[in-house]
Amino acid sequence: MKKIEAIIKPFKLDDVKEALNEIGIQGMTISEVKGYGRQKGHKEIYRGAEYVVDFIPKVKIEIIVEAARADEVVKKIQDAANTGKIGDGKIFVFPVEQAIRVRTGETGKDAI
Amino acid sequence: MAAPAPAFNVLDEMLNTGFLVKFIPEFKGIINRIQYDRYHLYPVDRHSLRTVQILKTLGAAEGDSKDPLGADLFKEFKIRRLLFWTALFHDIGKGQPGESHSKSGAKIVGTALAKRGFKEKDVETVSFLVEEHLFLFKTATRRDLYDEQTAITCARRIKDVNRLRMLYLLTVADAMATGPMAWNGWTATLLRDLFFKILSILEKGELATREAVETVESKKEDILESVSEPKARQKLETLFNFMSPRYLLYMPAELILEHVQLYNDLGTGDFVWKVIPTPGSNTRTVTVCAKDRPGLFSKIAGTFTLNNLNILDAQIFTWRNNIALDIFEVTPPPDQLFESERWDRAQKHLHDALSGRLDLSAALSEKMAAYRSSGRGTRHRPHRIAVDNQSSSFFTIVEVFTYDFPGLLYIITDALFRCRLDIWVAKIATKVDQVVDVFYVRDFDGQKIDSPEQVAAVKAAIMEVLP
Repeated sequence: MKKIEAIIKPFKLDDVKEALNEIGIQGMTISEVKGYGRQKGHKEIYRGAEYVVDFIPKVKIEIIVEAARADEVVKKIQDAANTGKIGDGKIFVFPVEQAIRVRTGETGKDAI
Repeated sequence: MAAPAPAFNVLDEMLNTGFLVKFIPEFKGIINRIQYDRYHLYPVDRHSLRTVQILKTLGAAEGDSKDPLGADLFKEFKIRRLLFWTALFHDIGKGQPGESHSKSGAKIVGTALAKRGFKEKDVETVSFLVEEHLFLFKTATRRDLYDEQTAITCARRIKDVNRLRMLYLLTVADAMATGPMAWNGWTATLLRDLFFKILSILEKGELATREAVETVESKKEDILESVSEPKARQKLETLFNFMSPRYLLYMPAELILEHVQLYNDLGTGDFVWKVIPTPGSNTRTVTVCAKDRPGLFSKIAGTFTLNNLNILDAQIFTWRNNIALDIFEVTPPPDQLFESERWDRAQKHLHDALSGRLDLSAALSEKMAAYRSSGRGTRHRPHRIAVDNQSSSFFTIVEVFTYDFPGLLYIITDALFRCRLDIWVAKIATKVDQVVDVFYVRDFDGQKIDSPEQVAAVKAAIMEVLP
């Protein structure tokens, strides 16, 4: 099994969810995260007061899939989240040692 | 209700004793209406009261649950009555079955306030705010804030700065009164970012005025009407979504149609262009439709110079599907007898320049050297370069004021390209021998160049290439 972690632009969340639903992936964990990177934050001045934003809001999606499906899922996410501009995000793939369903105790691929 | 904090408890007591419903019958539909999700911590009636309370305390910005921008904005309002009534009524539509609660709420509040003798303008404002109370939040979390079109669409809907400020305050208070999933540092950042971008368009743009909206809408209608075939019409409508806001505003309808034709001819090629005699003048108008890429403009300018075509005026537009639409007014080729051959040759040069087969700098260096040695270029004339990062939230605006000479546009745009800048919009104008070139740029990463070092570097790079 693999864990796929994708950091994407917030407004792309719906597109990515839809794309994943299309290939039968329904379950995922979503968090609102703060990003720091090449896409700089910036400051605004309003009525003499400075408003500094030093992070960029991003969304993190975490999905666990069977290893055989990992490449397909990564491609789907990338295509859906891509705008071609800086800040589109990154996708990481991790190995998963074990998965357990809390309600039934099922393990392995029956748990995901 | 507009009295200081203790009065809030009066509202609370009014709610608890049932007096509020007697006083404001419209409240009946939302009494104890539970919102069955993890997002809303309170039933609708309590939430509405909390929104009012939070709004009142927004001005005292302490602690990190407060919003400093909200505090500043709130303090600007001397008369806060409308804000409080809006906050109290913003979810009143949740008691109604059927259509969106924003729309139904707007109707209810409109009637309620008119009944109570509020001025028509105020009733309109509150109805608008209730109807749109989710708009900012939805846009901030669901739309690309780095795309100018997003802010322009919002600016056109909100229409004035006062309504923007009120809407922001309502949005913040509403989110704070909903629960921590709605209001936190993450959502606050998005909302603030959107607020500033819309404010900038409203305060400085000609892109969001009522006239601008009407002009663009009627233009689109006229164009669609002139196309009878339904498939073609559909393609046109899709294309409208890609055309940049400035393009749609400034380009006459007949020309838009011509450009669409040009775009259809582009297909998978690098570029296509159309050369016609400029109406009312002996110059030529060249319209180029190309796949956009950094350096495109400089390559076109260089190609013209290579073929002894002097650029008098230019307008550069970039569509959102990465298509460049560039219109040049150039002097006619020196020998007009074989004009079409000249243009064919120029076209080949541009294809070669774009594919890398032709090194424009090298090809032009001889020409430019010859020009300089003819003496005209060596006389010192004043130049001015201005880099403006205030007027637009989306682009850095570079303005070059100088005197014309053949190849000027090429060397400036080439300098910009070497600074890793991408030109999105440009307006070139020549009056006799004076030139004003305005470039709206972003760096290759799509960002403005606003650090002092970057600005200095751009100015230096352009100064260096000017004689």
